[in-house]
Amino acid sequence: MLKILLLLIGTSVFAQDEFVTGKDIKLVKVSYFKLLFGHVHRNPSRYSNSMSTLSCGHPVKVFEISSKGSKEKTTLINGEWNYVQVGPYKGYMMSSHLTDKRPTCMQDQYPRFFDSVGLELTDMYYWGKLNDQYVSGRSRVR
Amino acid sequence: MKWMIALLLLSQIVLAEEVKKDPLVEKHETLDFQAIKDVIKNDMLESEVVKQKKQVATVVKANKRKIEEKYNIPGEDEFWSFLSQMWLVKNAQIIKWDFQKPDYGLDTSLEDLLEKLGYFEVRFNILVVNTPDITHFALPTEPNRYLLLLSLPFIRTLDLTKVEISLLLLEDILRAKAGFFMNYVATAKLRSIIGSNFYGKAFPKEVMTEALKKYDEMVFDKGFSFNQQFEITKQMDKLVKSDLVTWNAYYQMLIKIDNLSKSNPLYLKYSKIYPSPEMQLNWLKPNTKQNEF
Repeated sequence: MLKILLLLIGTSVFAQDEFVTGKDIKLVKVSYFKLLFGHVHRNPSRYSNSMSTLSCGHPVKVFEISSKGSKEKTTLINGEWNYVQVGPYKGYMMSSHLTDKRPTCMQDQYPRFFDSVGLELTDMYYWGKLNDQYVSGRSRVR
Repeated sequence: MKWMIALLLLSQIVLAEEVKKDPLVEKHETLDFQAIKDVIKNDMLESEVVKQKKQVATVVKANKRKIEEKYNIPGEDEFWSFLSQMWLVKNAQIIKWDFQKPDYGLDTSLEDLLEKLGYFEVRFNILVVNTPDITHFALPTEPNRYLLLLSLPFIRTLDLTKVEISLLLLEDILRAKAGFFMNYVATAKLRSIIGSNFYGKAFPKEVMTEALKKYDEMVFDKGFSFNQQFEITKQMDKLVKSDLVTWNAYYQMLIKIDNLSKSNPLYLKYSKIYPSPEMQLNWLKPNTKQNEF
């Protein structure tokens, strides 16, 4: 159903950029996408092109990056991006959009409602963009 | 000898007929259901059948429930957030939120203001839009979570500071808390479908469509009433009065908006949506006759 939705948006399958080229890349875990819809980005920026659109609960391979010969390893790029692989697409996703445990997704909880509201492919694409555009915050007791 | 054999056969036939007719023999040959029933009862087979029937009924019931549950409509906690986002998605081209913008640090400034005023564990999503048609708005979502729209042309034209923007967003949070928007959209029909189930019925799509139209009305046309504005302005006054710098920032922001809504044709509708900055300024002035609505 929607969970297997994978839209081809970009033209290239692999992201080639300064953050991963010539570096050691190691698969460290499989996370799950936790929002309704989202994108795999070509670059670690919320405005960069989308390579693929995915829906809640989709498994995402997360990689650890380190410079060749260096002991310093990280999964985070620019403080908030993970280098990931979804199907054949390697790109970037915001770490705050991923979770290590399989999330409870609205699509699974209310499948008929979800099918009936009339979301089109364009809507799903925009919904993913919407999640990228939010400036999110939370007040805390400090 | 022949006579003897014939006589013997005849006597046996007669005897056989007699045996057939004997009711005692007949009784023994009939199946005794009561006895079988007792045997079954003693073997606990009857209770086993009842048990199995119950189990089958439970499974059938559970399966039916499972199928029915698939037709559930989200409850209040999830429905509003979904509907508001759906409205944003369906109107992406009009609202123009999909564009590149700089990081203004609005998250930290609003967090700071909320924390300063004692609003903790408040979650918010700010969506900066690139249109003057929507200046600022809080869309209905789940409790203690806010979806705030903010117009980039509006804050740029007014040259608002981060504190002023945060105060503007705080006003919207108070409006959302008061449920003005939600109450306008939530017709009796819509309320009746939230958290309900449509198994065996047609999906109430027209109710959803109607709700999305109400969003349009509220954001682009109707806005808030004088009463609602008075209530919010007084709440803001009480909240920020203890900090004169913040109160002054709020007052100055309203002056800027008042001037803009009177002078810039792009924002002439502002006073209709938020009636009105001029009245708000009057309500904020201490000890005047106009201080009451």
